[in-house]
Amino acid sequence: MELKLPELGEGVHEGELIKWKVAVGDVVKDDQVLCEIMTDKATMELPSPFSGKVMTLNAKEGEVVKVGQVMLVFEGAGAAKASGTSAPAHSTHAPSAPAPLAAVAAATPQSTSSASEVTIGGSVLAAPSTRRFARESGVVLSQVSASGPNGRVMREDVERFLSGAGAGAVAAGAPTLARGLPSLGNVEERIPFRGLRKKISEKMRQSKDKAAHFTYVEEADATALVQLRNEAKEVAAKAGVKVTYLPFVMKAMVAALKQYPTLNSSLDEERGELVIKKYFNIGLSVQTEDGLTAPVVKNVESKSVIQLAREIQELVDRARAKKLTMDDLTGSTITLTNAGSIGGLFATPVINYPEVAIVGLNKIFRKPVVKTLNGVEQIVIRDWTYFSISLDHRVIDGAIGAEFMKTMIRYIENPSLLVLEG
Amino acid sequence: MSTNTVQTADVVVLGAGPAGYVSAIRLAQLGKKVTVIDQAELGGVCLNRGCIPSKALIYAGTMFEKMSHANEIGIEVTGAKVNFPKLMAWKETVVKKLTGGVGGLLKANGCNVIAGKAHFTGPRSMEVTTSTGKTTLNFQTCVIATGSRPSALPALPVDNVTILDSTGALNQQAAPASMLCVGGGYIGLELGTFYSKVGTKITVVEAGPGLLGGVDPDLAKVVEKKLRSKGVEILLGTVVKKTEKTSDGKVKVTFAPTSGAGSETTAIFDKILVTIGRTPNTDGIGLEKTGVALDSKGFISVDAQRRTKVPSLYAIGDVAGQPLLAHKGSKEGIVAAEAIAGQKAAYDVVAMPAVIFTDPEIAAVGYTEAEAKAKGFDVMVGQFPFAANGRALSVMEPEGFVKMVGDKKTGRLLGVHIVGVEASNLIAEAALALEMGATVEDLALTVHAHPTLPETLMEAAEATLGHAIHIFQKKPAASAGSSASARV
Repeated sequence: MELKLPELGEGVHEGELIKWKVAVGDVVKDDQVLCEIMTDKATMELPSPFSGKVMTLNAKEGEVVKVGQVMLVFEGAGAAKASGTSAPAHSTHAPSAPAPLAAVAAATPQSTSSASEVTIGGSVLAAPSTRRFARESGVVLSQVSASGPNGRVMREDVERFLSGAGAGAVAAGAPTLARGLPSLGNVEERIPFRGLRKKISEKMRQSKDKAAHFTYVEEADATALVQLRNEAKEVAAKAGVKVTYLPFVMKAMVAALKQYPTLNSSLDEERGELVIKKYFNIGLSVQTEDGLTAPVVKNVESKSVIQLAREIQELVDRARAKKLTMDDLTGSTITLTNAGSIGGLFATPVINYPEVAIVGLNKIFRKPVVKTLNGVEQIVIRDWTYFSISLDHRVIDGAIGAEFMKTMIRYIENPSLLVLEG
Repeated sequence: MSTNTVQTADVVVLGAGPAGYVSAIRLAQLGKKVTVIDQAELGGVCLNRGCIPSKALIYAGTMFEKMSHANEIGIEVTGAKVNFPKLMAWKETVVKKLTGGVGGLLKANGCNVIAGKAHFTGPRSMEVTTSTGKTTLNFQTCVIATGSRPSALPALPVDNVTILDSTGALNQQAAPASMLCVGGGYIGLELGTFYSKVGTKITVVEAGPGLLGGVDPDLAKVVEKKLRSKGVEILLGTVVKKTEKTSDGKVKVTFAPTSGAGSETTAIFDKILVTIGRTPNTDGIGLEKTGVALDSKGFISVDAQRRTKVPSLYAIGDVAGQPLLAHKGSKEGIVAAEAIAGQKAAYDVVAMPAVIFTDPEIAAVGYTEAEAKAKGFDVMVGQFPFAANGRALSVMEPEGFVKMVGDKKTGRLLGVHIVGVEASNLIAEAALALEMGATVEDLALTVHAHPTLPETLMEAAEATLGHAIHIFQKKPAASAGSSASARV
């Protein structure tokens, strides 16, 4: 029976097969994870809808598979018995023990075919240990591009193949390149560019190709915000929530966006329409082990700071644990990125296309500034920060962006206004 | 074990020869509960009635011959003679030491060893008959490693008194005055050479056009020349037409040309050694009860993991097909054991060396020149004679040569064929080179210690490339490829 790639989520038609978690011949249980699929939104695990034996894997790691495409062919547990000649008593007596052996048998034809290609007269030149490694990894040596002398397939070539460089479209270009390179020993390392990394690269390129980026930076006095946050921290701690600056900034963004709605939009180029969103879903850049991801805090306008804080905390936890759902990752209308936790003066973020704006929260630091207090200029110590905003100049003019920033910073500097106006 | 008991095992290994016992040990290493069954001795034909005892005798024969020629190098030996019963007893101690070692290894690895005769009753069960009764043995998997036995010629029924097979030839209590070796294959020539060295007048009769079929004829000719020089009579293209026992216990043999055209001749021999091939032991073990299929030559058909078409049954060693070599069986034993343990093992051997303990020895691995040409390679061939190797000369063994076959297009080593002293030991390097996918140049560029016999491999590689140091090659290196001009 065939297993087709099921629906992955709304508007998701395909995904990249990141990793098979089963091999040909494996006996899998219902709900066991079969593979990892990465869509342009999230990486998810595909659970098995059947109990039985995997007969063939019809997609390669690194391949983009479409919804409805055959992923693998399997056989029910009962069907596997057909090939055996043992008396029924055996299979009922010790049903679990013979099954893995039968599974190995099923794998045999595949390894046979790869083995038979390894002859003196064959085209594949490889040391016995490399051949064994390939066999155990399920790699057909003739498909691996060789980097060794006289076209010898080295163990590293098999490893590279396994990590995806040899699969799919890459295979066509890679061999010549790999062969032409001088041996650099350990000076260079070649890491497969795929999965989330590849997705980020595509998204960033798309954004820079489409949006006419410009970045505007303004400074802000964050003293009141720091105070408020410190107060909120204690309150929230009792509820078990850790409050960062992010919920406040989100609130300030929403208050300002309501006044400059074009920043909360996307450009539908096909229909020649600007789509202004009347809801405020803020994507939040989160750095994970695998790379950047942007889970979405939905309907910021209708949530309290504490609610937002809790939600942000949960989203970040899920992102780092690679447990984000499709829902977590879809529907943002604008994005907030926080570079401040590392340092730096300010960043010039890349727009999360097709949004038209991304706000950068930077480091908050103590700084001597000139303030007029009681009509007298004084140097005082304030909590200071810079906000950056990158905008799609096709949609947002510089003046509008600057005005938005000014408005937003007004809420940052006077957070009480959020209660009054926001 | 009492009568009609029932035992179970994860894996039964049927046959404790070099395929079976190796498989059993690897299976035990991989955590399987293993039962080993053999109807005779541990170690199989190889240790008991083949490789090992024959090598012991051949060593003794060579030593005796060297003593006879020791005068040449200033060592005066008088009165050297062969005490046959003592030689046989010594040979037995070598065998016992090795078979005892196998027994110890099996025991140490926790294998249950049964001395008995097994008969399959189904794909997962067998009946084992031992000295104390019958046992039913149920198993998950069985590795069939029952080996082979000397093929019989109906016209020459082996009695191991006058008409011997290889087993009988290894257990004589005296050197016969004359012996006819029927079959010019390696077993007949190895044993015939031994008997020749201890004083027997040997005649070899071979139906085909040359000795050692399958071996590069260039190599076989060196052995043939040496045999003839030692007084061995070789009848090629000849068959045994009939035999008659004489009144004094000898055999009168009538020879006729294989072609049928030509006159018949007769001769009388004390003994006849029949070595015309080996037959797989697939009969008498109830194989028909299992559904296992045999191929057209009577071997059990197996896949790359040595699994038969019955999932619970594997076959390894001689019973699983050519080449009938102990080391091939051992390799298969390991592959099958690992496959049974769920590993992705496969028999993907590139280089299967073969060694023949004639005088001089022959060893080969990879394609012969003819095979490589037939496969479509643009071959380059080179030779280097032992006569140009210092070590060979200093041990009085100047005969023979190393012949190398390479692919002219890629430089890849395709085969190495050695006839000469210690060829059996020299071939290991060539096997490794082939298995690693080495080029002829790799062998030429590898420094070989001086003064040693393996230098001949390095020089043969150089000769193949057209620039050997210790022989003169007329052709410049640029036109290297065709056979180098150094032949001895």
